[in-house]
Amino acid sequence: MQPLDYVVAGMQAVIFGPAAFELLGVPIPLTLVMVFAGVVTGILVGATPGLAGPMAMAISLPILISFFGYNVEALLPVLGFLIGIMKGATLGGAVPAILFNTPGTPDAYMTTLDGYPLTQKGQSRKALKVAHLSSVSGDTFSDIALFVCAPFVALMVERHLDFPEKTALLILSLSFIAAVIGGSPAKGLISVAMGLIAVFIGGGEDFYPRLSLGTDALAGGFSIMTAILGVLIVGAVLKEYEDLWHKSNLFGARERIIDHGDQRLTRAEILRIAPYVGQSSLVGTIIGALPGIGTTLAAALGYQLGRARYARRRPEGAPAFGEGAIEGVAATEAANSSVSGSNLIPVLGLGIPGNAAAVFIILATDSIGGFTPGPSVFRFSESVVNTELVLVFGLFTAMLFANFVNWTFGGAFMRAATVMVRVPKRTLLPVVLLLTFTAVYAQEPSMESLWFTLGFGILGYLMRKVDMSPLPFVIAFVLGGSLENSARQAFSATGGDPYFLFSSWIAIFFLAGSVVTVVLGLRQKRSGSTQA
Amino acid sequence: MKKLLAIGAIALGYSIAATASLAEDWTPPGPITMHIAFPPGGGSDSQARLIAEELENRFGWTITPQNTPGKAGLIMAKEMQDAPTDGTVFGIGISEALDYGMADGTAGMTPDDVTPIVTTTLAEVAFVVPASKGWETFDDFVEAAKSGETLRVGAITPKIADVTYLLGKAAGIDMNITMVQGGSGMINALYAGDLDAGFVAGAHSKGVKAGELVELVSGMSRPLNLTPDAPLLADLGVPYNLDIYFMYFGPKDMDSAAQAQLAQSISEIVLDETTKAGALLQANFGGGEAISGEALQTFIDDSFVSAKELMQAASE
Repeated sequence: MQPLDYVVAGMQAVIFGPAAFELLGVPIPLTLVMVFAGVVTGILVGATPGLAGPMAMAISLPILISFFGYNVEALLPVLGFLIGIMKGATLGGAVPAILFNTPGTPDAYMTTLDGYPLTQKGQSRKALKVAHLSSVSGDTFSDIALFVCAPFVALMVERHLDFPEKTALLILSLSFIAAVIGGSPAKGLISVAMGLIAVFIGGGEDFYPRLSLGTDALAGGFSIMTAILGVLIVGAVLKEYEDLWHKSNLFGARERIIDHGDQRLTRAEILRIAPYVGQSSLVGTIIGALPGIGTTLAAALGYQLGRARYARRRPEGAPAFGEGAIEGVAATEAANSSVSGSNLIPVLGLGIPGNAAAVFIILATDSIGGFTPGPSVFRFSESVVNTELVLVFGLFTAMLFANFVNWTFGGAFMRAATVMVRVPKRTLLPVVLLLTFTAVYAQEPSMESLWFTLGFGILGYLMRKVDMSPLPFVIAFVLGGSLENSARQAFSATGGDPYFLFSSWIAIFFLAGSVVTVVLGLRQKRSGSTQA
Repeated sequence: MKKLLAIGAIALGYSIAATASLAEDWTPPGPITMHIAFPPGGGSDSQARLIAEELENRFGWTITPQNTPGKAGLIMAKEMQDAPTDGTVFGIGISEALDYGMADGTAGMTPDDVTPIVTTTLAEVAFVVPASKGWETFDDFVEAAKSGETLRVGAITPKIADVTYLLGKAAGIDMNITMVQGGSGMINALYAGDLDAGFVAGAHSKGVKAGELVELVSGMSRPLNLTPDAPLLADLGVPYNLDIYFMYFGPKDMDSAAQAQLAQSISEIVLDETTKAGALLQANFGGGEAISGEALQTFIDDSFVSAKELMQAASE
């Protein structure tokens, strides 16, 4: 098959794949239905303060798998739904930020700065339109970057990286994640270390289980779902409960929103925000492609750069940044949305997840099977069909369709999602908890797994109490197995050389990079705290 | 081996006839937990789940598949030690768990600690190299190993690693043997150029058909389906083979009626190509192979002894 045939085959896998139902005799593809459902879910979840896209992805993954089963045909519908959530959530996050000064997702905090003043001026619908336009533009730009870059990254890795270099690259990724997530490199390293210890329990090459304290319960190790759902969701819910305890009735009655004046977005206004959208999209895309740096930083950077540009070119009489400038909303929303496509570059190219959303894409492919993200996916083999590559193009098609849904219906769903802001947390949290335990039990029907989930939940809660980000833990848990395997393989493939990590310049460069990242992070933190 | 299979088939026929009346009486006293000694996803897991689905359809039983991977199936064998013996708990793994896995004693179990039920198929194990290397026979491979740098060879189980070592020893070459994760891990490493060769158990057939991979040696005691001319291990001076069956087993002292009924029902499914499970086995392994009863017990006892000898030989 020629490269173009793969693109066509990928599109066909989506369009002529299993049908969900028939509409007037025309079969409606299941994958497209799932993407649509994912986007709607994502917008609703993003618009709900206290919920985030990765949470919804985590809960829905085990449920989707138990529904669709473990076969390759399940991959596109399941991934389509997850990607829909990922894309919808960044769009939905802007809704409460603009309307109620409450960011639905952490990355939407910057949106409140100009979005809420616009609402106060009676321009809420216009602000939502700006957010919609910028968000979807950024997202689309980022997807195009993914489609173009992922194959090249993969081919480069395959050509230049051997077992020792792959091991060094994983060490670099983990150091990078530890150093940049959560603002404290030391806590990040502890979080990574705990993730690695947790994943190494019960595993190993020997016939007796490792680190199991002689108990049968630990002999099989912790399953990935109990660890991740526990730390990421149960931990967050427990922390939310504590916050509720301290400030009761966090979300009381909301003020009514009254719009006045013209809410349409004029051509001149679109031209005004276009450079901000372009600039932020580029920033967000670059940040998204680096593992570990999330949407929040992209939003902050996009906003800062937007403000600098605005200071030079502000039109006469226009409100400043922070006082209701539509450029401010555009700069933030384009930046945080343009992370979602490019963060799949390390996923598809290297098999390394850069953020929480990407973790669940990897988990889905790991659990369902038939598709192993990594360099070998992008083999344009001519004599026999590389089904993984067809799946990649199917995935790209699903992403494009998700963008289409966002472009066309996203605006309407955003306005409808305002209702979610009114859901009280005391109703929401128990539902989330119940869904989480159901999801874990669906994947692993044993009481043990529920206890483990609760245990990891308490760990996640304690980590949040001491301001330690649980994300390095999660990513270390996901990558721990690959790290161990590639190190073992590098050791034996080099004929038992204990210094295999220093066997090539690329590996040494990666190792030096990991040391530098952590040291720089620590120094920055120190200078930041002395300034404070 | 053919003889053994023939005996197996006959014995299976007898055992089915003899136990048919016994088996017909058996129905599970409750929902069944079916352990799968492989991680979720992938061909082995699919095989198990499709068999479970067909059992549910045919008999109306309730079966919950549960993945219990690790240590080439030993984790699952351990899990079954305390399981009820009434037929409500059993699992699918590979025969290597019972022979090589238990042979060195560290597992604290012997094959007598489980009840073998039935095999589903024999893994098509072959020594495979990428076609891009230009090696067409095992002699080409040996020549390359003698003239150039040490070649890297992958192994997906400890038993395969030992046999690979002996193969190199017999040919008088040094190899760096590297453990890789499952068939797909091996195939990816071969394509990426990280490995030069390795024994693969079926995952390679697509690549061989496409001309991207070449089978140099049969790891089984019989010739390969796709490359029947490839030598057997015995031809290359290695007196062991890699006959690895996918097989079901249950806890020790399992109810014999349950054992008979399960053996009969599962073999009917895997031998029937019109079932999804049978079709999958046909596509990946050239068809199902159901051995049960005495013949299966004999195979396991023999391979347990042979595995001990293999370990001894590989450690010398």
